[in-house]
Amino acid sequence: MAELFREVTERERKHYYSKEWSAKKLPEFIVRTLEEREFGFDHTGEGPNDRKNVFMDVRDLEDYVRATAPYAIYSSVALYEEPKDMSGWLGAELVFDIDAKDLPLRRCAHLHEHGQVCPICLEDAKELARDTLIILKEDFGFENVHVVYSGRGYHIRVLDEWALRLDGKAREKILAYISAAEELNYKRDIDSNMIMLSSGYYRVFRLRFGYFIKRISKSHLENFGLSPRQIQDTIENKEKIYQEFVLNAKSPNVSFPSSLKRPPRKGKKRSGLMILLNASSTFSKAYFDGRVTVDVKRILRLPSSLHSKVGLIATYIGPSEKKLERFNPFKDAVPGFRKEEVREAYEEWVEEHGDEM
Amino acid sequence: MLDPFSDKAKRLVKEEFGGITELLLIIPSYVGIDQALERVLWVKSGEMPRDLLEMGDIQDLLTFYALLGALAFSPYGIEMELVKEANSRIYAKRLRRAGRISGTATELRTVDAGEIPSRDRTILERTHHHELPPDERDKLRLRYKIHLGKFLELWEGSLKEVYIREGYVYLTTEQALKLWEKSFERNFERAVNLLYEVRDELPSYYLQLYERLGEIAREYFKERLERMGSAEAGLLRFELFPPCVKIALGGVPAGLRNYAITVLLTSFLSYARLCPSPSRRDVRIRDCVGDLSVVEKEILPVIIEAGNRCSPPLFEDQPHEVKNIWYHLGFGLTDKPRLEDSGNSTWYFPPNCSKIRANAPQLCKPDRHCRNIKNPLTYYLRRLYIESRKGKQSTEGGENG
Ligand SMILES: [Zn+2]
Repeated sequence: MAELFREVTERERKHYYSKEWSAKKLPEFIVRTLEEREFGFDHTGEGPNDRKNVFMDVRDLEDYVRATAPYAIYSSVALYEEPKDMSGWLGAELVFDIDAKDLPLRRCAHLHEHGQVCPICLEDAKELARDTLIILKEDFGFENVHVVYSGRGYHIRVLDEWALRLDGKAREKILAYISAAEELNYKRDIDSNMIMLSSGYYRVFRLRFGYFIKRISKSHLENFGLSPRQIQDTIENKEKIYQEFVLNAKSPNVSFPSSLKRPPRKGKKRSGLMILLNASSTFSKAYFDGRVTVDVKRILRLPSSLHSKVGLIATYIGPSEKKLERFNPFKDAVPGFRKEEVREAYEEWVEEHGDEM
Repeated sequence: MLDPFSDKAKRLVKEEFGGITELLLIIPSYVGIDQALERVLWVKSGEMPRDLLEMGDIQDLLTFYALLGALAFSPYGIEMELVKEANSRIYAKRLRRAGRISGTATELRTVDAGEIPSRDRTILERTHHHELPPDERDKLRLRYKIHLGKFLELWEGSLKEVYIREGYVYLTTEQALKLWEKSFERNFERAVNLLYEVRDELPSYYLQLYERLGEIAREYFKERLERMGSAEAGLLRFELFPPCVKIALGGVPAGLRNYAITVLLTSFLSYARLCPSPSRRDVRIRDCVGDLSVVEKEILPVIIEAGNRCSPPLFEDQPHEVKNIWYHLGFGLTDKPRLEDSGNSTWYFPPNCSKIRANAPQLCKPDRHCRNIKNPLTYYLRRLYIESRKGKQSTEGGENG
């Protein structure tokens, strides 16, 4: 049976780097800053232990990659005066890493184990990436934003001048904002209508809540401690809540079923609504690998390089939501030598599970 | 009003006096010590004299910079805290009186009509809440905006607390003032750090002013000092050391040994432990301690241990280097020092960051606290100061807790 993901052989790697790949496939934002970046290589599949490489010219990088056909290629998000000893830090891209294999609220829990991926979770990662892209552009006003398919998820990389200079503390704050990680407070946030704002943290919160509400299941709701009535009302009104609360920013008083306004049972303090809203922020914290955002010296998979573990290409998608929307990893990130195999496997998969997408 | 760190103030200093050093040199002939002290004397009573609020720009700059010059002798001491607090309050009050924040060192802009969607305005400013008195509603008005990048440098809270749109943060007057205070504090510390460099060249006027400030500060912070003890000479807090000192403490390879151990560690540890903010350059160890036991029991063992961690261990193949340590501590070339010998050579002061970077770049791995710092010792003093403030907040902040 054909497989969507599989580890590639050394021979296939060599074939890819000598026949398919060339430095021309590197995105411009990497080429422009090439001399300031540290490059790391994984030659054996055990992790990037050949680090602190510097290339003054793309042709040098090309020669090196052709000659060694590494298992994986990484480059730093930081720019340095002296990348070979990682000194003279000039700044670092602001990066958000959405890894599809670690997402909570999986719709495909019945299809595969945690730690693996399928077209469904990749689609979910894409939705999170799209929302993130929107927030970065509309709230933060970033213009130099790039989306990359990482092999098993998405990297969003910001290169606006002021983003490069942010320190770890500022990045943490931005991450908390982007992931809507802070819990809401009834009086301050709901009662005063703040949650209905069309910009700022509350809008981000609603976007993340939209992702959440579309995916929660009956068993999640039971775990949160909602009453049977509240559970039933929530499930039946998912679409209404999404339309009114998330998209049209209407007050929770009109968008949510009235049973949620009470605590699930006597003696409880929090209303069903607050339980639901705060459960959403608990989940949203897990959408991103926060270490990637906060660590200003990290290395990331190089766009255009082969992700040898899964047999797909880390692919530069572009700066726009439209391009991201149209991107399909099983068509656009497949190395030539696997085209036939992936096409076949993808068709099989769609036939079997396509309606769940 | 004039923000002493604004571009306008900088221009004034340059055009009228020829630069900050020149300004500091001529201040003593224009401003009496008592006159400068008026800017802080009122804090005890809390009543700010009117003429402080209505002072002309030049007079304001001269008296303010007189105090800054005095602080060059003790960055991050209680004197600095006193001057910072008193003057931040003076300028904040002037800003409030002016009714708008403009021309400050914080890059705040006023918000144009229509920039914020009207529904958001209604919610944030509670436009329809007629039960609120007008001045309450006035407090909710979003009057200022600042670019997010600048905002993040100053704001300590979360981004949930503010309204963000298209790269700007929108602020009420109170929030804007809070931000201005933060930037004042930042600029203030930066200025003190810079002046620390030139303190040897300053006229004795500033030392006298500094001593008077010390008296007032000790009086003002009396209770706190009794409760906490002062942040002056005390046990070494290794966790607050700058990265270069930490690297040196961990042991270094052969080529770096003498610089890291003899030059950097010896001077840093001895000043940090015995005399963190010397008021003059030619201070001697015997001016700070009554016997040598602290040096022998607390400082020397740390230096020797760091030397042993070097590869190869420093004092094994260069035993005479111990003499050199004593030499750098001011006892002349000896290995049997007596307290009276202190002053036989110069007690070396920790090298500036720029020197360390030039002579031993491997030691310079700046962390976020290194920003605006020019000398490893001020790094340590600053962190001690921040720690002592944390302690103060946790003991005094009980009621809101
Ligand atoms: Zn899946």
